[in-house]
Amino acid sequence: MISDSTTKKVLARALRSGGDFAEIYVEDRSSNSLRLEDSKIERASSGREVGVGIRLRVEERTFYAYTNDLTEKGLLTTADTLLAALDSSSLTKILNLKAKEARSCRGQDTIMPQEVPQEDKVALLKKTDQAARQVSHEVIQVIAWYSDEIQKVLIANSRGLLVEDERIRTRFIIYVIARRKEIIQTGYKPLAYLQGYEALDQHPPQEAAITAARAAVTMLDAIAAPSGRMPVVIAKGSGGTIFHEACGHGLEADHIYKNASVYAGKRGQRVASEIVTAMDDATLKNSWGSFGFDDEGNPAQSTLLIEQGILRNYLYDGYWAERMGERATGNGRRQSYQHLPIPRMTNTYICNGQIEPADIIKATEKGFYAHTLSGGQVDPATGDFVFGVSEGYLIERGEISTPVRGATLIGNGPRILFEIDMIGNDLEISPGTCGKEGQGIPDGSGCPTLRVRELTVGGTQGGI
Amino acid sequence: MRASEICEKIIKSGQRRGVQEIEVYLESSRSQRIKVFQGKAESVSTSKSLGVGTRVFVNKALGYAFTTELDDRSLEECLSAAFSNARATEADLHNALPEVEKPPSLDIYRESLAQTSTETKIDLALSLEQLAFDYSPKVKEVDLLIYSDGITEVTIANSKGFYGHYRRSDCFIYLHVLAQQNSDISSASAYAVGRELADLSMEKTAEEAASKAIMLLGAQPVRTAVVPVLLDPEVAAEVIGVIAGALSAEAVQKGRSLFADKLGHQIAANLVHIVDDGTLPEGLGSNPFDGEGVPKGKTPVIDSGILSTFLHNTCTARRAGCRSTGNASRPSFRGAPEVGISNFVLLPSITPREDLLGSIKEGFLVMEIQGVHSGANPVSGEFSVGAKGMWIKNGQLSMPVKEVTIASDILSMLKDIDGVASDLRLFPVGGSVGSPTLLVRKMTVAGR
Repeated sequence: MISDSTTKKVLARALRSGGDFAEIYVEDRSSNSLRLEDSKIERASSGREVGVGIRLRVEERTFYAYTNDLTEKGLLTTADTLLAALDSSSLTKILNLKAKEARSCRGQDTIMPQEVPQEDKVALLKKTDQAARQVSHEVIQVIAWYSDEIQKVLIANSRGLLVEDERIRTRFIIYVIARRKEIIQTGYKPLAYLQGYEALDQHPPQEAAITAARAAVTMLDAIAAPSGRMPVVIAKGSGGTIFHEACGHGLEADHIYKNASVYAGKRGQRVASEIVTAMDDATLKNSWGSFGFDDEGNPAQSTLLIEQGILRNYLYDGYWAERMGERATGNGRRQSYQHLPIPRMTNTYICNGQIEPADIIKATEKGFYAHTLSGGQVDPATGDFVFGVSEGYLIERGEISTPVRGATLIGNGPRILFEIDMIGNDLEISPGTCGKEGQGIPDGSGCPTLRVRELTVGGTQGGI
Repeated sequence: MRASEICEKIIKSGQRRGVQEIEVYLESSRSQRIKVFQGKAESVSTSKSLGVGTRVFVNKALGYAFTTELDDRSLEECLSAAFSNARATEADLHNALPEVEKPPSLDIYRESLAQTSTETKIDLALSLEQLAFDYSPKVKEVDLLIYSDGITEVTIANSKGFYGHYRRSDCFIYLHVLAQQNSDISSASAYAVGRELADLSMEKTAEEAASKAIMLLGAQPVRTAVVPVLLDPEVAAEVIGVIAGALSAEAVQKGRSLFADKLGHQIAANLVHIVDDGTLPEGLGSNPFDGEGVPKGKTPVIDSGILSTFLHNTCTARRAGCRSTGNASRPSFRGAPEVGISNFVLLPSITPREDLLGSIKEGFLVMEIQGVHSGANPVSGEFSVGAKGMWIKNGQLSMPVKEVTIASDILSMLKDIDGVASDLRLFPVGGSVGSPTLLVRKMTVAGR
């Protein structure tokens, strides 16, 4: 993307007035998207974005500058802007760049999405639309959105690191609206993989469309959600949001350092019931939150976060690892060349337990079944979290019964982890976009079916 | 290369290839972002970026492509991609460029921001951190403090002869504060926005975050109850922002709005007046023209509780047989215009906020809501979000509350608005949304 000699010159220029560390991040991203609505392809868009971010560290301070101008002159000028706010005298030697190490998620079976004819993508969107509409005449609208991207990054730093990573992403999102008289309900199913177009052969969007349409139609029969504290069974897959929000963000090293996390100082201590083991794993093949190298050039790795209830590790990027005297865990990620890397999750999940999911429901006399969560939010400082349930049911006499709508789960992260009393054996990871400090990145979160002894359900009706 | 030359080059090349209509959107920006922590600048980020997007109309089908590479070859590739995309989409008679109108001038740029040094901005951010600590010894940490600004230049040109250009300056400062008393920790945030540094009130912003965090110390869930709820302006703005999405004509025409059949109907209490105003000089959502070159307007959306119009861009307006309201939105060169709000404002009354508070025998003052993007559904109208705030007893604030949800449905909530205060503020939540304190007659507060 840029030559080694330019890379070296830019690093040298960034460090000209001193500093401890310099890095260059080059990104070339091509993307395509098609959107169907009203059974018609309404939008088609393509883009190419090329940019470079240059980072300079001086003691505890970080300076960053980015540009779309990739000429050597443009890059040197950008490096110069870093120096404007600098008053350091420490000098760092730039080590020779190592031999380039390149990774890619591209394999023998990879079908490059950009080589698939537009007609095929259009046909797939239309088939998906039909599949959803065939579920019921109550389906009144289907939005199907296909997108692909190839993101190539090159990262080099003054310590001699030189790596390249190629990430191929394919995504298909289905959103279905069903209506019966005045009642409108929605169903949603995302498919997203760090993989080429073959992902959509392996996970047919038509099936996802049927799932989304059935959810929307089922929810037309829903009653208003109960409210109050009750046992809650959280289904596999999107239920992983619970761990992502309730705990994962609180394990990010920046929050730990700033004492802005309930998990600060808790390594080695019990933070969850002993049936809970949790991981962050960027090496999962094809998973939406995976990569070859993170956005600082550290290799993807798998990190044990909680082992049988004991907190084992936090999530570090290079900066916080160094500042805190720890090893980076490959969690330095950024939305694009326009952003500084910060500690982020990759694919985060609660590991499988022993129990059959059906037995968890059977063991629950009365409670709430959260089948699909629509997302959530947490304040890492206090651990207070909330998440929305887009598809939920009552549990009565050990069986899933009436669908309910408009439920929200609310609680406190540290407390809920202790309240998990049953974990199933059906782990599933679902894709999403995680936001932090205005940066959105692809992530996976997952869990097996699990039960929380008691959690607050916020609806409009009374208790059960 | 100058903006006008790039636009001309792309339009000419598109016309040679046989488009009926073509539009170019060019955006360049300079920005800075500064994070401070414990008396030091933790990071300083400086940028310059440039991108161009082109929209082509081929036999009434629409194609879009963008690039950050501005050499001739890349521009031709971008145009080819737009053409290929136009072949994939279906024709729609309503796809067309707007009629050319001369854009009004609007005062949204301050040269002083361009002249402000990085050091001055760092000092400003550090002073905000210090003010938060000085507010009270209970302020334990300012764990996130971000200053950011941008000077953006936008040029739109099209084959009908429109050529418009504007420059704007924006700055923003945000802090998140932790307060502590014994082992109890609470948090709160506040922000200020403006066109230049002088617009950002440091004292007010520090006080807002610090006082809120301290008020919330010792918060507990309450028992589940149905009570009157008072929404702080920021909370009210987040709620109003959810409604804004459902008032876009695009959502209505595609059957994904709960207001679809409600034009001319009473959808809110009499005292609710909502205007979308893209001409407010202080509004973040203001520009001389929208994302396709139509002058931004001032559109009364809800008038005395009656739904009077939806928000339109050129395409949705042609479909509905009306005029564009200047609401073609375009967050950047990366996307074709959709429909979006400018400054979406629920107009204030002359009632002081204290009078609304004083009228509540038992109720809940909501100071912060969590999970709006997952808990509020603008299609089905469901609304259930996490909330923090103060319990109200006999017209007075009694105790702090957290770990509860407030729930209702959007249509009932709009009709249940029983009071509108005078304390209007604008917030950058999902666009620019403004609201004063609102009183909602009843909502379910779910807790213990």
